[in-house]
Amino acid sequence: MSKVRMEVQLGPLRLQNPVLVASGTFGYGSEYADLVDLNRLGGIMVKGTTLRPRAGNPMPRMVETAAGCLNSIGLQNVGVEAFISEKLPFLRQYRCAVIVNIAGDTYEEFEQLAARLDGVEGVHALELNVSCPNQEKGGIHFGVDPEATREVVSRVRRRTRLPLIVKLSPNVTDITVNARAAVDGGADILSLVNTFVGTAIDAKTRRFKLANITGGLSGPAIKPLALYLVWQVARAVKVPIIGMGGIMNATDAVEFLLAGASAVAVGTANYVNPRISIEVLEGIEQYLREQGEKDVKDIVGTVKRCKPESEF
Amino acid sequence: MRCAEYCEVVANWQVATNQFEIQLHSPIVARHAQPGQFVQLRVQTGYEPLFGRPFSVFRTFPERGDFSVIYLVRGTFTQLLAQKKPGDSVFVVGPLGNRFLVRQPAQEVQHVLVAGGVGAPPMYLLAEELVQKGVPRQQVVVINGARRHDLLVCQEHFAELGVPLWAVTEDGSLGEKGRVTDILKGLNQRGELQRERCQVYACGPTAMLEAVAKFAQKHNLPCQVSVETMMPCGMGVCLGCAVKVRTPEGHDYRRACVEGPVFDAAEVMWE
Repeated sequence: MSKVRMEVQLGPLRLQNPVLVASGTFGYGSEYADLVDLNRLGGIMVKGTTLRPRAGNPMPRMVETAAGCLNSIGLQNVGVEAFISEKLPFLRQYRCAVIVNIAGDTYEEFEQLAARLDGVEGVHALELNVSCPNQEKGGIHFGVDPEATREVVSRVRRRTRLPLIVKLSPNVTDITVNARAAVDGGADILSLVNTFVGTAIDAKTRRFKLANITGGLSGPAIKPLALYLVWQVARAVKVPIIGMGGIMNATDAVEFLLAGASAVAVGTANYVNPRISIEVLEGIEQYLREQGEKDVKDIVGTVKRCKPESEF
Repeated sequence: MRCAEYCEVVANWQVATNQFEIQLHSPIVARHAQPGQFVQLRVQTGYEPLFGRPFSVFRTFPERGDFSVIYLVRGTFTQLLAQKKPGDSVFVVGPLGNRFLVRQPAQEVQHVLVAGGVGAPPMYLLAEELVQKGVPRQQVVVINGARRHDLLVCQEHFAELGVPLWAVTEDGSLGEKGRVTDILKGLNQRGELQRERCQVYACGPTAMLEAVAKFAQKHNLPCQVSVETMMPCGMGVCLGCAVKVRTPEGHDYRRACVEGPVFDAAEVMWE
């Protein structure tokens, strides 16, 4: 069996393979370590981390929808100090990249988080969460207003030497504007998409299904939307992209690579099958062998126009 | 020790009007599942529904490497589960979550097990464990309730254990007419609750758990409840199954799939 080169270089960030697990869908790695060989993953994007611990939003926080789910967890997390002292030592044992997703309500909080994590052993990159739809203030605000995106990214850029990933919100009119703003601010890599804002109503009780009314939609329902946005952004900027949004199997992942993502993140699918990330990785390798490809980077952004049926 | 793999269906049969028991071959679950723990099952091939569903472990057969769960057919998922035949496979993740903590010394405690509807299977596993560990049968009191007789689960299994057993239905179609808390109140009024050495364990719908927890609190009885909530991942990462609990600082959320599903009733904030 011929060996396929899976290593990818995303700007300053090297990954042993292009399969990551998305923030908020894999905890801090330890939750899955008995079922998934973390050493095989390209990287783990840990749960959104804030300066201080957060209890999160009231229940119910999650509801299944057609081929997807809405969540409004509200960034329940242990806070950056507990992350460093309690969660990171475990992750240091593994060779996969550790990417810390950071979220703040203010510019200063983002700066403090970035400064705190700069130079901490075992942290390989930061992912700026400027797109969480479940925070009253901050969060998504930084992601939908291009000027605020540029500002927060450039401020964080000055506080860290770590590779900087900016996670884009799909809840905008033209995502390429926000993508360029993030790059202007100093983003090394873009990740997209975060969840789409939505809601669900129970007709029988005539009530919203989520305590927070709105939530972020994820899962296979959003894949065509996410795929299109990745393709758009890939044509608009030169920095590498981590594509995500409804990836349920290797074929979905390959589609994101073809659309222009240099790496992919598996999210909601981790809830369905704890081992799905490894299955996606193996499936991509198999696809590349079947296609006669030797290096995963060779297929990035190679999607071509639809071929009319008449052309044989 | 837990698994995440396809497991063979050994048997899948109807036990009442709308109730089924499915037996699956999984040596890991059979050997390691404890009373109160659950498994996530997935039978669907497409995305409707998207997530697996949690089911409390009902019986284990460690020597055969099998375990079973009981389910009511009431939605797309359970309809698919009911179609599974011996030799088919079901994706199983588990065992997951914590277990009921048996108050010690177990032989000297009066264990009161309160079950509501499909909350009965884990109570059966607990009752069986208590009896097997040598707790006198008279000290294992089971109150099994449901809205109607056809929603009452595990009744004959409890009966086979030979423990004091009350069946109670809201419409009176089987056993006593009323609710599980009516039985608790009756036991208490007749002086049959050994208040100084009693431990209550409950599993069932949230409203029932709240009523049992309030009864226990009023009479100062230690009580553990196994909560029923949606569990998208079952692995402790999605945080969608959070249970609000009291803390010195106010409140916090605990994951029903990791810190639960069994909680000390006194710390749960019912709302």
